[in-house]
Amino acid sequence: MHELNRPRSRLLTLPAIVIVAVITQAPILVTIGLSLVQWIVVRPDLGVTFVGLNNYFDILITRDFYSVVLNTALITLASLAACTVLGILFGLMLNQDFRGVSIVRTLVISPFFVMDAVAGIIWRTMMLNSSFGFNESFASLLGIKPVDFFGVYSLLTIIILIVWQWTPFFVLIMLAGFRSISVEIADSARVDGAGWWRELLSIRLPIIMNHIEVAILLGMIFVLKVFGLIYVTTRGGPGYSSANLPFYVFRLAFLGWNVGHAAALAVVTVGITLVAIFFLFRWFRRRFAEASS
Amino acid sequence: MRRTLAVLAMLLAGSTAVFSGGAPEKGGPVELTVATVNNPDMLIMQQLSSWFTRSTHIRLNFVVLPENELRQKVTEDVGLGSGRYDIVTIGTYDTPFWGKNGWVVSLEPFFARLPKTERDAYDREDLLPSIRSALSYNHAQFAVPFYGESSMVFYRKDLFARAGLVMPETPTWQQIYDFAVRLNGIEKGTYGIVLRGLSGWGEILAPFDTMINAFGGRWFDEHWQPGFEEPPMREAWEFYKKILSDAGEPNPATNGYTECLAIMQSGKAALWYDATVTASALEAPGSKVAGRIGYAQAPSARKGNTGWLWAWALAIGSSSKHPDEAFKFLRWATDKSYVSLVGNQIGWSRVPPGTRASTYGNPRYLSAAPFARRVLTAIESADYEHPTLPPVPYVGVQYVSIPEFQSLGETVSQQLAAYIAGQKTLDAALADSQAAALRVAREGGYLKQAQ
Repeated sequence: MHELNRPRSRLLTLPAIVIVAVITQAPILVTIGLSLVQWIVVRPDLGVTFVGLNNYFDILITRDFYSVVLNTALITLASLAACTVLGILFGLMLNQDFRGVSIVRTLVISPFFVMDAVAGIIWRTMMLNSSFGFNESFASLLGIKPVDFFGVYSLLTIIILIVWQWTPFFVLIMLAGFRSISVEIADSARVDGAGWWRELLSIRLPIIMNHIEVAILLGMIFVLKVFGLIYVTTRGGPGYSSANLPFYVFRLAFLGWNVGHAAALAVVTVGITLVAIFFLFRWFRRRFAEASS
Repeated sequence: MRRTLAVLAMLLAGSTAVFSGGAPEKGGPVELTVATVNNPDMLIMQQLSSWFTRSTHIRLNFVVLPENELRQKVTEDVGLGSGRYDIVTIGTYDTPFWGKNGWVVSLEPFFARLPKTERDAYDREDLLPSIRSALSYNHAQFAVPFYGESSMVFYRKDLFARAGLVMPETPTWQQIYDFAVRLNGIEKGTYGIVLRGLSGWGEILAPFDTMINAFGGRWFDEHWQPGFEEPPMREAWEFYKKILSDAGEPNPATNGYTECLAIMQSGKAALWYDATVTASALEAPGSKVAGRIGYAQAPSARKGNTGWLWAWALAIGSSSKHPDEAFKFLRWATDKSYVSLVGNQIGWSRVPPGTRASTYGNPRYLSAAPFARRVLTAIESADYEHPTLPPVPYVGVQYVSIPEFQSLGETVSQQLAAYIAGQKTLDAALADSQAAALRVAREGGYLKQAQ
């Protein structure tokens, strides 16, 4: 009876599937369609013409594209590495019971709740500005030239700001992991003569490995999409030195008004992101398999 | 096809603009949606708009945005045909090709339909000719100026006197450099000069383009071949970096107009070259340098009359459902009586400058704004039609009047910022700028047109 009804019951899910498909897949299909046309919004006299894969060729032969891809990789890898290390260290610290731990936890986590644009503007004007910010105050106190955070060190500055903003997210996940370790395991490790380092490396970190992996995976998805911080601090410059792929798409779409190029780049960006996530997932699966065996 | 793509693109962008609609269609008073920029003059307009509503019963819904976002939103709106805004605030750069694209409507039929008494009262001939010409396409006016500006040099009279220096009425860039180097550090923490360093065609390129013109450079030659490999262009790039390195504010990459204004207002710079509209802000009560600022015309080199020309203007979106009501608002906001309204209600120094000759004949304005005559001279002498020494196929002083300049200007400004920050050599920055300009000339069909 159940077997007979299954196809009909599956039909009931069809509207939901269609709605979800339209909502999630239609924009991607439209983007792919737009990537095959030449359409410059500010030049309606040129019309909209089908150009095949030309937009992709145009992007792939541009030197800027490769420097932006490299920037994106550097921003993502450096930020994730720093966030992971800091997340573990802060997680360990906040896992202790000491007076004021709740206040410290709140302070550590608070940057995560500041909006991108607000954080960027505060860092750009109040903290790191060479003429007004703390940067200028420190430099004049020491009698040196202020550090050129948004010029020479623009990429490093973006990475630092991302780490500042996203470390709390890692801390929250790591802390949850550390708190899930039972006291008995830690006690038995100590009884067996393990020191703090040995306990951390051989007991605690392997136990929270799945937490670390989830943090890295989600962190990667979020960091790859960073836009607001770059927009309000460096605008991707000087040159393209601090631009990532989302910001590059924005520049093509809303400064160049070249819909075809922007759409082609968006498709390439999605492709790169999917490949990166695929390999990361595969690596995680192997790690899980090894751990469980 | 384009309409379909437009709707799809709006969906893609996640924009709600296409669904948000404009004024109510049936019953009730008309409501106009006005997209405007968040500068002080426009905010005053918003503040005083209740006077307009009281007399016309037309309600106004203001969408106030920073300059870059305004241009982005409004271009998206008109370019994709969603028609959210009845009135848009655009500049002298946008107006000619927006008119050509049919995104804003010609104002000529509206003026022609006005009764003579109202036409005379508005007095279109009173608008400054250079500004009016910059807001026209094919001899038809597409926007009315709300305020206009050129560029000039602001300097600290007290520091000049202390150093025994005298600023000429029209200095050369070399003189400005010498003054800046001499005054750099004259007081602890005082820079010789402050100049925009933030990338963006509306930021660093505004003063820098006038420097290119002064040195004899050009973006394109008369055949639309890019001019980034010509010696005067190279000279201008070197000079901008040199003056900033030797006497400018440190690490200028984040300093746009607002930051430079703050530096000058706080007394941390001896010289500044920027928009004339700044004068009232420097003389305002909150400014530490009020009463100590001198003014000179835009610096020259091989070419004189290098000051830029800009106006923020109001235009009617072509998809507005209430163009007649929108025209009423345009007239109200740019009329002589609006100037008096601002003068009486807010203060005469806050009157929108640079649009009407009558403003500069008003003794109350002249006594409140000691810089007024110099501003008028700067605007009247701006070389909008012939901005460069060698011939060029474009108009516009601090921009090239083609739609692609938004993108090209952004790219070149980023190259300049990278060169100033030492991240790129001059050769590489100029080569990349040349390549970008060549791509625009080819893709935009300009090279083909010239051949």
